[in-house]
Amino acid sequence: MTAATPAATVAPRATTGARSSRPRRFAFSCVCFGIGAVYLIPLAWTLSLSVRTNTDVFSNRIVPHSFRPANFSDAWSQFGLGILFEHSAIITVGTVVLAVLFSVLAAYGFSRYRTKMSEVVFIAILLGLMVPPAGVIIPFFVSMRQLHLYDSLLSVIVGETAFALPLGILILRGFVDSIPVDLTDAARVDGATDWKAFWYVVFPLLKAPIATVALFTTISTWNGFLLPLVLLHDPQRSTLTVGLSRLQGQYGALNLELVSAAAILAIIPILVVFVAARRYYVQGLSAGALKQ
Amino acid sequence: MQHRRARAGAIFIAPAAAFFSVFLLFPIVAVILLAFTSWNGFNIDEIAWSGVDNFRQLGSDDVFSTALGHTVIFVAVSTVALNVFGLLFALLINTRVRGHDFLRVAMFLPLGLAPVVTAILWQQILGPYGMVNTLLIETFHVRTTPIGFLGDPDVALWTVITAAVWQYSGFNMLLYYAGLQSLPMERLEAASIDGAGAWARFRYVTLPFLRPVVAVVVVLNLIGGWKVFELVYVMTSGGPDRATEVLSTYLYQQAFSFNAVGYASSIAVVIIALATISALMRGRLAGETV
Repeated sequence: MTAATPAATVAPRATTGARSSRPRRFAFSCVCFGIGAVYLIPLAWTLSLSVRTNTDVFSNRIVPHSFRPANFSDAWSQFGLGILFEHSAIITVGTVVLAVLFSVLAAYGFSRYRTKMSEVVFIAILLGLMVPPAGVIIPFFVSMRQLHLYDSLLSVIVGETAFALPLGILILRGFVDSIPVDLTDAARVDGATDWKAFWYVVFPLLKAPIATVALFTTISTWNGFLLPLVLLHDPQRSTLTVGLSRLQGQYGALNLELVSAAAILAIIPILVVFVAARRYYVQGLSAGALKQ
Repeated sequence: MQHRRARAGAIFIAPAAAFFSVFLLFPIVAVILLAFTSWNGFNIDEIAWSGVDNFRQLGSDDVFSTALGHTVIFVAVSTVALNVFGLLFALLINTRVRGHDFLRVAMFLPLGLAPVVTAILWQQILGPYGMVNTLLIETFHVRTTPIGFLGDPDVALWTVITAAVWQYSGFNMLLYYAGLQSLPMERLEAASIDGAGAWARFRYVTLPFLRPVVAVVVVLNLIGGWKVFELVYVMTSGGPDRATEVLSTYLYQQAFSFNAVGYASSIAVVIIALATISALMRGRLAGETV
């Protein structure tokens, strides 16, 4: 049920591994560390900028000659990061709650009450996976304005939820399909209603895939840009991503160290979540992409 | 009984279906309709049908063809690079040599970042005071003036592509790595008993086995590629002198700076069409004969 990551369960040794000579394995090792280091350079460089003094940033030095952690508190107060964090957090939590709720219910419906009609709706929703946000942003903006939801966090929440639903339903339906029908039938024989069969029998078995869907939705929403850019009026009171893009444009040339500090602050929460829950991410990738 | 079941199912599906219809399906239909109108985006009563005028205008708009060309280059080059790096590094990690976990984590981290953050990180690496120019000028003295990674029209698009490949190659690596875990060992062993070298085993056993995975991954890369917006918007805003303009940034400018909503909608239709065509290619790429 709770399929562990492929890496953890699959024993067979790698193809080149067992046979390879020691010098070759050493060379592969070096390549791993080398390329890995290259991948980390952008993060490391911005981190190093974020703790320098302003003069040190523009001193043309690779290694910092100063240490100024106060950049973080300065960036926080000068750039008004508090409100941006708050907005990003509200939008992310709201979207995760709606997306998880709707996709669990729909996945259960699609799996257990299958009709020709429901399969058509299922396919239609899956097609939503390939809709580029830029393609629909114009009508989206117009509808929100007509509904008087323009410049409200709610408009971003419903938009992000719509984009999160297809993947959520796809991942969750796969899991519901794998739960034996006998389980829910037994509950029904015992007199449980449809709703009770779902809530007491199926729902508790879905914790892992729900965590996966919540993680994917958290990442895409926290990192989302086009919807808040278009739907929220004032970039200073928008989300972190929109705020950061404004800061980079406005202060990127003069106060690189503060912009770097702001960027580091913005990515800490999401990277912590991402790394802590990476198991679910990998599961979701396999469930979402490879089983299609 | 059938009816009751269908109705019970509909109740579970309804919230998602309603949401989907209102906030995704309706906008798609609406944008296609708007593409055949002329409208400044303010008063709904002023929407006027204009037939295929917008599409005719696209045909003679040099900026549009430039943006389309850049988007195609971006999608093609990044898809090739993502798959080469993704597969190569998945194979490397699959050797399980010391350091494979380090590489895996290092490639994984960028996937959690906002494209906006990626754009900022790469601006700071490649900007005039960035790390690379500092190294070239101050440390190695190989140049006296900074390279305009973002300011030189001949280079800027490649800088954006580099940032995109940095961010997403971990995605391909993870999927290929997952695919490699179910590689049929007995076939590989049979091949090597028959005297096949490492390259032959890869070419004739591993690669054909991975083909369905490659098909899915390539399609996901293509669809993701057509979506590119914030990397360009934040790094270069389409400049210098339109050198990095892509379809989505041009659409954004037409819709929200010039209020040419009808015209921008026709660009949106082009983006949706490109994504749809990419999605339909999966079966063919996988070699399915359906």
